[in-house]
Amino acid sequence: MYESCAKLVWRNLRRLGVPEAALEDAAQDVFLVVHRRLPEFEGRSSLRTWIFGIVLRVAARHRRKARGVAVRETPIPNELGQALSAPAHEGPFERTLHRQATGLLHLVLERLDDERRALLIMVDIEQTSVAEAAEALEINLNTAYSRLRAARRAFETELSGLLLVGEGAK
Amino acid sequence: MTGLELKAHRLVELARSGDDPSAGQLLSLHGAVAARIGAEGAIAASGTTVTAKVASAGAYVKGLVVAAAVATGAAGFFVLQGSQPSPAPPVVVQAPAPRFAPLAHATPAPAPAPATRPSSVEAPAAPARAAKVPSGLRLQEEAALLAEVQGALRSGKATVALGKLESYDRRFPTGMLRAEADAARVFAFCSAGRVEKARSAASRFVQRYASSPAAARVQAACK
Repeated sequence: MYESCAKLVWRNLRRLGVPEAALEDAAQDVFLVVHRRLPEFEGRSSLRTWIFGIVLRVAARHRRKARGVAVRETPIPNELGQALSAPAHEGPFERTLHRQATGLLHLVLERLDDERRALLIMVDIEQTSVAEAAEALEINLNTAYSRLRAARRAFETELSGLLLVGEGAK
Repeated sequence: MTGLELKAHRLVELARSGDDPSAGQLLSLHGAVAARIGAEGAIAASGTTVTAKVASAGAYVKGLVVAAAVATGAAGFFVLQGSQPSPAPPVVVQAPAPRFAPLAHATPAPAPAPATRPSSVEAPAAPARAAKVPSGLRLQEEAALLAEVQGALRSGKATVALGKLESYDRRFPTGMLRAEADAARVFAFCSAGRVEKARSAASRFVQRYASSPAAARVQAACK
């Protein structure tokens, strides 16, 4: 139980742009807020949604602190480009591929605005419902649906741009 | 699904578990959180002991478990790993989580159907009025109707949900949220006890949206 919460917090802080070096501090902050505010949790939303709301706020604070730190961009490796064009196959390079894909995902997410990034992370990566995402972001359901659609378009546009840059660099 | 959508989808699949912390990072986090909670308790109680620190950290983990139980009862969709199932679990059927909807982008924006377009068995003809509605407004209407479907499912009103889904089919035969509606139908059939209908709807869903992350959950809907 604790472990699944900790993993949820950790990976989403990272996706929300908290630098690697600040992850543990940020995760500690989340759990301190959880600890302090647990008595207020009434079960109206799922625990996961409630925690995600806290993660969003803590990530925003840590991102502000890290503002100005240059993001290191590395060229997109050939094998990752190929894996995105054809079904990924299991093999010895799988771990490398996952690591590279995670790096590219971060690059794409960084290019989205906060709300779009959060919506994509919750719905398309964490696979929560749009209703839960809307609740965590404190927006209404209709708005969440239309913004999610815009977020998916933006995600694809940014990914396409990065892949083109990668192609051009080779 | 276009080539780019597929790439986006594959990227998400490849990267999904890439940000999980290592066992060492988890352990370190756990220790640090327990220490900070203990320190906070010390400030509050001014004169805490090691036992109090441990008790405070333990209460925090226990609190999470209790909160998870509350959450599980209130919103069964998000059962966190490790939480205990209730002794007699109610049949909680939630609206499916709309995923990286495979058709959301692949389907062209709803446009008036040309007169020569062959009619589809599964897609009833759109009322002429619907074709004139601006696409932004249409999406809002679709989303609102699906929100009603989800609401009905959450309240256990499967028949109402199915009625609303029929209405969705009539109003939005080429809807942008078609995948979400099709997934919701599977859950509604399950909730209504119409298992065979659910299975065939699930099978159609998997055929149409084979790469959807929701496919596995839809297939397991009645289990």
